Amino acid sequence: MRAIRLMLLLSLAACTTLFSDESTVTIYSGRGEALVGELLARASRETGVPLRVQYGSTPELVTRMVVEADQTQADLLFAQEITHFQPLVRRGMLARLPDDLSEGLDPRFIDQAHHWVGTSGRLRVLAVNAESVPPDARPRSLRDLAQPEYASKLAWAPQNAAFQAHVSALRALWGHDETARWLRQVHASGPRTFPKNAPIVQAVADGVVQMGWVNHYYLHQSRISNGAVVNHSFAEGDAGNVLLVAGIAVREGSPRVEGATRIVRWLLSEAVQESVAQSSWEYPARLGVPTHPDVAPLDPIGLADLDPDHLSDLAPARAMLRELGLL
Amino acid sequence: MSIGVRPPSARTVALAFVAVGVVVVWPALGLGYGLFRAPAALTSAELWSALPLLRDSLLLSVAVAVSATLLGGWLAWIAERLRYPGRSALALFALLPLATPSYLLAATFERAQVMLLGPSYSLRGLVAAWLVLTLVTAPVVQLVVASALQRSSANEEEAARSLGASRVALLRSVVLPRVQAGMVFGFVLSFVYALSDFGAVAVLDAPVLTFRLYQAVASHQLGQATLYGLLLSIAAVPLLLLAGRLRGKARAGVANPRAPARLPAGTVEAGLAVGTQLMVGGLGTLLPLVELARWVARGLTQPDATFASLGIPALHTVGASFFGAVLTLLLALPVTWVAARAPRLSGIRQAGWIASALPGPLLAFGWLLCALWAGTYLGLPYGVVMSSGLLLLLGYATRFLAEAAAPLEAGILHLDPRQEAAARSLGAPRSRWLLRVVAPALTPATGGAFVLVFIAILKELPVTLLLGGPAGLSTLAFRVFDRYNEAMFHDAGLAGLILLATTLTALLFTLERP
Repeated sequence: MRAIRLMLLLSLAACTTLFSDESTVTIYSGRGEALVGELLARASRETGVPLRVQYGSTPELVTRMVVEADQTQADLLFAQEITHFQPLVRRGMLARLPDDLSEGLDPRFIDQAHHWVGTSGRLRVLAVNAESVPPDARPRSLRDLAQPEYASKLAWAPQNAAFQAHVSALRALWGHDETARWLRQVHASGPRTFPKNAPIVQAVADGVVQMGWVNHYYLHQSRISNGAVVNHSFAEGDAGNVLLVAGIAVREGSPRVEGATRIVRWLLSEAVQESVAQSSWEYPARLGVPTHPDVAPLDPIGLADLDPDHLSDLAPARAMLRELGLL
Repeated sequence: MSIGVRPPSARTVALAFVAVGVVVVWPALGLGYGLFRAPAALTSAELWSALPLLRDSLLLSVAVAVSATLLGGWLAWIAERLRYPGRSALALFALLPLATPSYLLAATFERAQVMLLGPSYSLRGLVAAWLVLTLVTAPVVQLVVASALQRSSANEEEAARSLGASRVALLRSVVLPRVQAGMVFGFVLSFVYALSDFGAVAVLDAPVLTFRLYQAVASHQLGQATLYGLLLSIAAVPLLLLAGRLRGKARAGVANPRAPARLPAGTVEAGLAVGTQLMVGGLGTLLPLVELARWVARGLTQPDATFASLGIPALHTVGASFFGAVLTLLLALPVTWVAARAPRLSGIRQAGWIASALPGPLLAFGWLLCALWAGTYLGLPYGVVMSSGLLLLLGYATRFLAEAAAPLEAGILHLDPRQEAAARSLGAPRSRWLLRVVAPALTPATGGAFVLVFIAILKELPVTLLLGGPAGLSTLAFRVFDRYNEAMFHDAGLAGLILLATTLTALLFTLERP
């Protein structure tokens, strides 16, 4: 009985459901609480806009918005990748943002139609076990991964949205057939498949695999390294050097557009961009804001020449992966 | 059914149907409403490519159910009928994998292989998923079967022993019929768990139909996901019907049963018992525990690694689990009562099983669509319904009705009909009989059901994420998932350790009871 009483008390204390007033802006955040929880709390404090955050995976939150349609509670969608905005754009569910929001931003973070705006970026890299793959043995191009000597040492995550976004980019850069051929060749050498990026970095550190095709910041977040794992970028302009952009959008018809836009503006401000770059190791959206000292600047790396529009729809990439038996 | 057992009253039958209507039919109607709004179809190519995945889903689930039933049955038997040093502590130790989220166990299973056998060794795919899911579900079977063994009277077993029956004969003729229902329920629980799991199979790269279903949800094709879910449910029906028949005829128990004396275990038997318990607890709990502790330790050595406060997530977890378990039990009680006492209506049980076989996200979307329907046609404000938390609790009830029903029905089957007959002949009204006789006799079964559901909700994720978010809920399981996703292993580790400690506490409180 004592136990039941204790549980009841704890439960009552726990049931402090958040009641919110009319001005509370609701964010569906596909970006994890670990990444943006504190940031959004700060946004609310500094802008004076009350915020309510609902976390989830970005694809699932987008599906939820599609299903909820005009009954959705979301005023803002904070997406892990801008690729996820397209189904909402198609349905006319995203509001046009003020043009001046994009001023001073890196063009890669700007949507020409102003339906969304990029807030930060993550570079696709090879996380490499420094000891077993010395610098001269690392592939110079993403294409090299199709060679069995590399592919058999590789880990990848075809179910992961970042992987799918990169395949989407490859379709734009190489064409459908070439991308399919390359994927088939890599797959034939039996890379290790993981459901997401984080365990890949761990597997590289443990020596289970020698290389993992991931986003750059997992290495920093995991605090694994001490030099045991390094992020490797390909030759300048290679299709492996793709920047994935996280972004935010306001829902069309939201009665709290003003508050929602104020949050977006705050996220893009120089001071906040600086703090994001330093605390989360991501690439800032604003020009002139330095990256974290541990993160390689984008310029010398040389990104693949890619129009952000090519990253806007994952459906063809997913269909391709399904056809190849990777999904 | 034994003579003297009253069939359920019309009111109880009505209550049971209302409960099933609420928990099973509503979310199904919600998904139907979704299909009505956005019709979907599977092309023949999609269907053909899904069939091998469906086959593997069924193969994996049946294999897990068989091995978990055998392993869990053995664990229950040694814990309840054998005497050897350290028995109580080891029995508790073997139950701990109940607390481990399957994806976390799968991840540590991989790591254990690396540490013990070297980096090049890798057991992945369906066999690895089978091992991991067996470890997670065997303790469920152990709890259900142990509870049946506790309620079995000593008389029959001791009579058989004194007549010189061998252990095998005793097991086959006396014990198994008593625990048959519990074992079938354990089989079903393991089966539906494995069928609806996504975490372990994803980590261990064992493609099954839930892969395809989740990709459909991620591609915003909820209609297609519903059709895959329907395929999964239809494929599970024959086995669930068969399980309902295998439950066997009800063998009434006796009131206040005296447990048989435990047999002293021989050296080999004791070694085998201890070995099994250590293996299950060690692989299912100790390994994940060591891994989580390693993550935390690594964070402690890094000056810039911070640990987020766990007070609110811990409170939310306990609150959601408590209220979710209470509601699930309240809804499960009339359903199991009718299923146990009205053979012609026993199909009601399978409805709960099928609901529990649905993957979490699909089920949560079913409830969400119900709320949308209510918003459109009944004028109930969608936002208020979502943020009330009621849908979350109902979602838990749908997901875990089978978990609650298994120990409850086993308990109802063991009620002593003589007590009921005595109460009736003494003119006691039904309500008094229920309160004074049935309720105390069902207390252990209710406690078992409560802890099973409480622990299941502790580590639940998809329903919590979709239906709990609008209510402002942030649980420990979410914290582990969120931090793990972002490679913040140290923070995930701490939340995981607290989750395991909470489960252990819940188990200790429950197992305190004689």
